[in-house]
Amino acid sequence: MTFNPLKMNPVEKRLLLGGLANSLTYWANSAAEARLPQYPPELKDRLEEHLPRHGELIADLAPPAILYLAKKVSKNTSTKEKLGDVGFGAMLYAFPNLMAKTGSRAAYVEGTKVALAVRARAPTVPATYKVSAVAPTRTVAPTVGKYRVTA
Amino acid sequence: MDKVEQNLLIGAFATGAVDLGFEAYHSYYAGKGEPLTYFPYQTIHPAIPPYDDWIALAGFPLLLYLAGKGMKKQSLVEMAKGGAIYGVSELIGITMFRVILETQPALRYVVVR
Repeated sequence: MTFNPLKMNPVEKRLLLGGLANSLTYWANSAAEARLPQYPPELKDRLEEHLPRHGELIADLAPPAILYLAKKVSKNTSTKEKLGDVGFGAMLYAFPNLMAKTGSRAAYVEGTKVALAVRARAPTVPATYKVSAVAPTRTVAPTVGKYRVTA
Repeated sequence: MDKVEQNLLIGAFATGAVDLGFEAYHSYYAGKGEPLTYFPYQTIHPAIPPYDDWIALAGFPLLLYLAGKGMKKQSLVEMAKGGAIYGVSELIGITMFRVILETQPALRYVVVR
């Protein structure tokens, strides 16, 4: 395969188109999540802490699913073939990306657990000194004579 | 799925696995509170992906392609194509994301029409 888009054969172009479309969908969702205040909070949730967010899953898996359905629905053989190529290209992006993002998230969560465990094992202050919040009593002897202690 | 499609998929997953290795290592230490700042987790500009992304997403498919051409194995060349489809798409997507983050500040107000 040449990396020059002008010299690729039509099937390779459609595969790359599918991969690009899926990637732009995924990263557009990530940019919206990071920058848009009206981004739906439900899409920021996770099923489990090791998994990607709902929005990321949808943006990653929806394009190949939609293209597969479109291929099933279309009646024209040539359109079916083209949609199949684009859908396969989207799949070539979607599944490895899901694998990479899930693994990265899982590694992050495990790292936070290690950090918490280290903090929990931190050495406690030795009980050599007794800390008392009670102020020691003081007695002031009354002064007889010129000066009188009032406090 | 025919042999060519299988090779494309293997190549894409192999590239994804290399990317996963770099990202997981970085994420683990980020989770520990010790973010990695040395090569390859550096970048020449915040809008451009870091070196580990270039190595995994462009370098690895190129390596597969050169290995396939050198050993005259068409299967490796096809794997390289699959890896390149994943890698090039991811690089373009990440660059778009980073450019948006760099150029668009976080919005504090919602526009109501």
